Amino acid sequence: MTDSIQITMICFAGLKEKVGSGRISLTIPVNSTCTEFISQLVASYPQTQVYSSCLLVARNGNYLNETDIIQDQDELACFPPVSGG
Amino acid sequence: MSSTDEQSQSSDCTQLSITELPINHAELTDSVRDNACGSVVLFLGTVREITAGKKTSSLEYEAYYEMAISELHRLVDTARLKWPIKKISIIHRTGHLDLGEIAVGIALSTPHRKEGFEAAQFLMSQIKETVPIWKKENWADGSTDWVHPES
Repeated sequence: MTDSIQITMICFAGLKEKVGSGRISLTIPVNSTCTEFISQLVASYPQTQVYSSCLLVARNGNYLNETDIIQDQDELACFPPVSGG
Repeated sequence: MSSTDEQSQSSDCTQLSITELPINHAELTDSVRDNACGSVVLFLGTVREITAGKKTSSLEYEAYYEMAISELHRLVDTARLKWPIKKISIIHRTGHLDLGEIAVGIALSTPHRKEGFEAAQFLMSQIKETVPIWKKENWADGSTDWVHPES
């Protein structure tokens, strides 16, 4: 079995409402990319499917690219496209 | 100026904050006035009643505070490379806003008006794309919608 890591993630706005919490834990395979991480999130919380193609991920306050690797000690945030102003 | 206050960061020439309190546009404007500058540009984003034919009763704003402030800093740093901004203040509301209230304010001073208008336009466009703040529409008919532009 592939090694996996547990990630704690904070979420905001419409995503927070869909998952029912501002902070959730997710188990993902080691060396998962950002895209794989989002797929895992949608698999675990099917109600977030509506956002699957547009979710943004940030690590320690910086946006991640689709191919960036998720690591377990990071502060990870996930949210739909922003709409301030 | 306090390094422990996550919702606001300031230096003499840059003031960035996210607040649940009403925005005072006169204070915001005065905070950037400078004798080296012949121009102060102020932009206010306010709560509009009608969007695409649908009537709004109020808005709720939510922010990822720490990242919103760091993103604003990044945008201001980028703007300062392009335009000679002397002083700049940006403030964004969170929480419940009624019609007509100020959701966001940008004030900045520059030697001349052209660069001031351009910088304010650039910053407001970028804020809407990258700063992690979201709005929820409370429609007059009682329904609600998170505004997520690409979803």
